[in-house]
Amino acid sequence: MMNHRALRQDVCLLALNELEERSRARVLEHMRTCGECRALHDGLTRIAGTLAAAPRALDEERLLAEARADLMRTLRSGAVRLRWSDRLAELLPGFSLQTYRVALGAVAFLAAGILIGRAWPAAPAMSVPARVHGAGPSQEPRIANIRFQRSTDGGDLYDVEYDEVMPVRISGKLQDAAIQKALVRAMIGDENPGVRLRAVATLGTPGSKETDREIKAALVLALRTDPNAGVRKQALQVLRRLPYDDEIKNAFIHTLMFDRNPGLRVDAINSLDSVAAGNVATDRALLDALRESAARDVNTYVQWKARAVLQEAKRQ
Amino acid sequence: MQENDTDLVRQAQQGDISAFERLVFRHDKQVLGIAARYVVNAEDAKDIYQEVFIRVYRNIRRFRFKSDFATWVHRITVNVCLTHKARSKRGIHVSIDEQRSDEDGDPHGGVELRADTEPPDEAAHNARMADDIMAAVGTLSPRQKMVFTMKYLEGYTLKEIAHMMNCAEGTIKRYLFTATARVRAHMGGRT
Repeated sequence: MMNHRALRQDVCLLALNELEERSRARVLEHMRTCGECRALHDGLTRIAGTLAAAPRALDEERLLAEARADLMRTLRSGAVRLRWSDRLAELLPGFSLQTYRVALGAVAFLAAGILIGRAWPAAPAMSVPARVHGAGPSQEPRIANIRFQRSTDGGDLYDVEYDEVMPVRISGKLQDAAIQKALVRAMIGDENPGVRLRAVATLGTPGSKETDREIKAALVLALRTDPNAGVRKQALQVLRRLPYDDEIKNAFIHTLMFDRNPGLRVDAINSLDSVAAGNVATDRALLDALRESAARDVNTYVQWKARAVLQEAKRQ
Repeated sequence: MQENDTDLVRQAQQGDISAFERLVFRHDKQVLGIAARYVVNAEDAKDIYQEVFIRVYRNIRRFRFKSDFATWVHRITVNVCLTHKARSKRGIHVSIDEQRSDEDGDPHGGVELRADTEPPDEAAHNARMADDIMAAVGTLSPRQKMVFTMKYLEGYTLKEIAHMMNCAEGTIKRYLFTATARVRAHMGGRT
């Protein structure tokens, strides 16, 4: 009886063809004399056979096509946002959070120490009347994020916490590193799309031709991920004026394949057509993207445009 | 020469969307297969499919090649299935039968179809039995259901299931054994 109980799981595995060879003979031998285990084995074989013979409840090809289309639409819509670390990695090729984990931990530790150090004497200092800076009004820090913490036991004294924001004004040419850094930050980090648009436009004005790698990466990032179509369009126009390379080509192809704005997809085709002039027919990635767009883009004008470029490439 | 998964993953990690798309197209059939058999509902299966590949997209930079890419995707699929809240539980339910009949433009759905093409007795008996088994599977716990589905319907080996569910093979055997016993109990004396 004990043997029978211990063997039930093996009978189950035997029915599913999962039993190891060395146990198989033992189980088969037991089943010859045990009607209950034979019934169990037959029942399981019947379940497996019934399910294997049952028709699929779904038209899987169709479901797969629908699921793929839904996924591509979601990716195109920009609804899937990368983490900040991934965006940083995109901006700085070769950056890996894993690699810099210790360094970032040290920076975070240091920052926490500075914050604690600043907060420690702040309590008594806040109870004295606020100082008036002797500096001119343009240099006076702006007070933001005022938080009334609690009234102290003294009765008429209050703890008020706030951020001091110091305006900084710098002058320089577009080639100056500080100006470029400020514009890049505005382009990828500012919440106001108007500011981002202006930053992109400024970086694209003549005089900033000697665009360095970081600016180009930021422009590519804006073209790929900025939620505002105007900003993406401006980024595309600026990139179009830069020397054509694989990074720019891939960014344009990405726009063609995934941007949710059909106007921008058309702009991407025009840009690829003009900057890759004469090379379309020999560029496989570009040809694949154009074929995909010609066959599957949801907008018929984009399809037509892609087809026209492909035909032109064929003629050449 | 055909690109392998490793090349495509590396390209996708560099932000190459078309490489990511090629990876999706290589593995999505199995993902959808598991999802469809697990939830038995077209809309839920599509939700799972989407959730799986969005998670893959968001995390691909963190993929360190410690396992096969396919195994990693399958693990994500299993996790998403196990935590998936069916639309039926959220108040929206479109059964596959309903959807298919609507899409086929048949206002009477499967009822008319069955009357017109009555299968032979044995086939009808098997179809009823398959329905009953699937109803019994619906009463299992998520993990038992996942193991049962992947073994009986998708035909994965226990070793493969253990990899996907990140469990020991013995644990998978226990789930399968319990699930099978419960399905048999639900079926009465018919199996």
